Amino acid sequence: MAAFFSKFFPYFTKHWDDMGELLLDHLQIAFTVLGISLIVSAGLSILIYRSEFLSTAVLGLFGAIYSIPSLALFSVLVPLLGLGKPSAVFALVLYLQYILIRNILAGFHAISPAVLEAGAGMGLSPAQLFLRIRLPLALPIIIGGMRIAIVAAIGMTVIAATINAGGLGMLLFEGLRTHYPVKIVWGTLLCAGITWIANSLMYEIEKYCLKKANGELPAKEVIKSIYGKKVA
Amino acid sequence: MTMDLNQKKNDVPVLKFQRVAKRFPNAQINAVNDVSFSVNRGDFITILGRSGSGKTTLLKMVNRIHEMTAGDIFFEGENIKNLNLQDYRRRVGYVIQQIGLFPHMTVAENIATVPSVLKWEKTRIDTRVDVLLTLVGLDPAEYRNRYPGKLSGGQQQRVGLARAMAAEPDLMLMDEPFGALDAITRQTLQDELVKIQQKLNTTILFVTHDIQEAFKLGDRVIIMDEGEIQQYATPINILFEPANDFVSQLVSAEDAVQKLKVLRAGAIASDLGFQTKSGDLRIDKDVYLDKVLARFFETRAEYFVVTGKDGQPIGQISWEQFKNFAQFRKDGVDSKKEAV
Repeated sequence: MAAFFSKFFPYFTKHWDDMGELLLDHLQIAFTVLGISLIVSAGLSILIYRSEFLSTAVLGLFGAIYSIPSLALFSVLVPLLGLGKPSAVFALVLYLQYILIRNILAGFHAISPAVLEAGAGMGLSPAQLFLRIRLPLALPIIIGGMRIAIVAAIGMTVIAATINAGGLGMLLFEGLRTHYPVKIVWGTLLCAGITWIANSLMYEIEKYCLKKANGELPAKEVIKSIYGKKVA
Repeated sequence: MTMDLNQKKNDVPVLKFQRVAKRFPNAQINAVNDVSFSVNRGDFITILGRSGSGKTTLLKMVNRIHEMTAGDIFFEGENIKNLNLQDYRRRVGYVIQQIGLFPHMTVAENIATVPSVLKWEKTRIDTRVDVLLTLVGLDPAEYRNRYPGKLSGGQQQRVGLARAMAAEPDLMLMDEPFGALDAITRQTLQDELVKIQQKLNTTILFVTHDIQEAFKLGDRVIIMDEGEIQQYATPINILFEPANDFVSQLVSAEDAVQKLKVLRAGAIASDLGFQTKSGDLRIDKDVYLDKVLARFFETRAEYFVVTGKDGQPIGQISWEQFKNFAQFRKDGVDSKKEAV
């Protein structure tokens, strides 16, 4: 144990630049995955939103994919896309579809039909109805989905190191292979750290959006009347 | 030129149904079947019927929430199929039972919805919001920046009403707007709606399943059953000359006291026939008959002079005549006389 601690901090002072690089690499993979996943899931959601049959079918398909262990999926993709980032990103995008599509659909379906009927009946165009009403009201649940997705993406990116995709998993698995606990613990700590930060950040955004959707934020005019005078 | 245009606008009915029918997909029969009627400027029309009678479908075809499957609807003389849907809807106020306020917007932002998409100037919108809040009985300073979630049901529907009137619509559609409110709030809002309607001379189409509400609010009442109009007439005509068995059964369920509560003095006033004196007791034509009865008891008067909008005498109600009327004897009322 004493041997572990005698190496723990010196390892950091010696290798902080390599570790930083792996950390950035990890974040880059995770956010690339999240970005692509958002675009794909938004597109798919628009296509299947109005059909209950399609919604069930598509969610069922991605639900099944979500249940495949990541190592198994990677090994299927490697012969097709090769070792490295492309296979990893592709697999992770597939995984995140289930979480994201489910929450996007849930977000839009949770809006009261009366609110939408009132909006349409008053003469809002479909675009106005979407931007002014649907999106702000669905946003808390969509952000909630993004929060779970980003946590899952950071976690699964670790496994992607097995197919040589880079990221903090490289450090962790190297430690496993060479029986070097310091590397394992640093890898784990950094990974847990960014997961925690990402989760907390998204949680704050989610809370803000929820308050906004429920009309619990102070109104703009009120904020102005309180702070406007001080500034003026 | 402008005079001519205004003149023309007043002559054309605000709304005209011409052999309109609606059949929902996979339905065996028409929800609304071959309906024709028209609504003039300033009319307060109530549509009365049971659930499934087609009354709500009828209303929602006006702003094309439901599309008709046959016939034509004309809005100020123009076939609504030829109008741009969004532009047209912005000219027609819409109030629904579930209210449907936007929960993420303040009361002011809710009310400003249509003016803001119409790109009104900010100062004009702000003024309009305050005028409307005052009109529906909410203090602008207190309620402007509140969110709907913090309001009672009655307050929410007041905001719903203000929102629908924001851009000075030529027609208001109201689908059981007070149906979900408690009895006391409902009555208050009914009374206020009548006042607002008379003040602004708004044209209103109002769906309800409540006979009292229909008769109390409507200048004329459309009675719907099985997708068809059973009768379209003034409350008093419906009570005294029901068009068919369905209508007579419907109105016979109401007792005399209930009927007095929904008919107004102007509806049963007879011709004045004498010069009014300064000592004559006067009563406004819009006072409901139960109040008239109370006034008879309080004052022990032999008759009241009924006054119109500007306070001018327009007729009289004598105690004898009132008694006959209250017993629903036809000689108590000049049946040819239209309700005012």
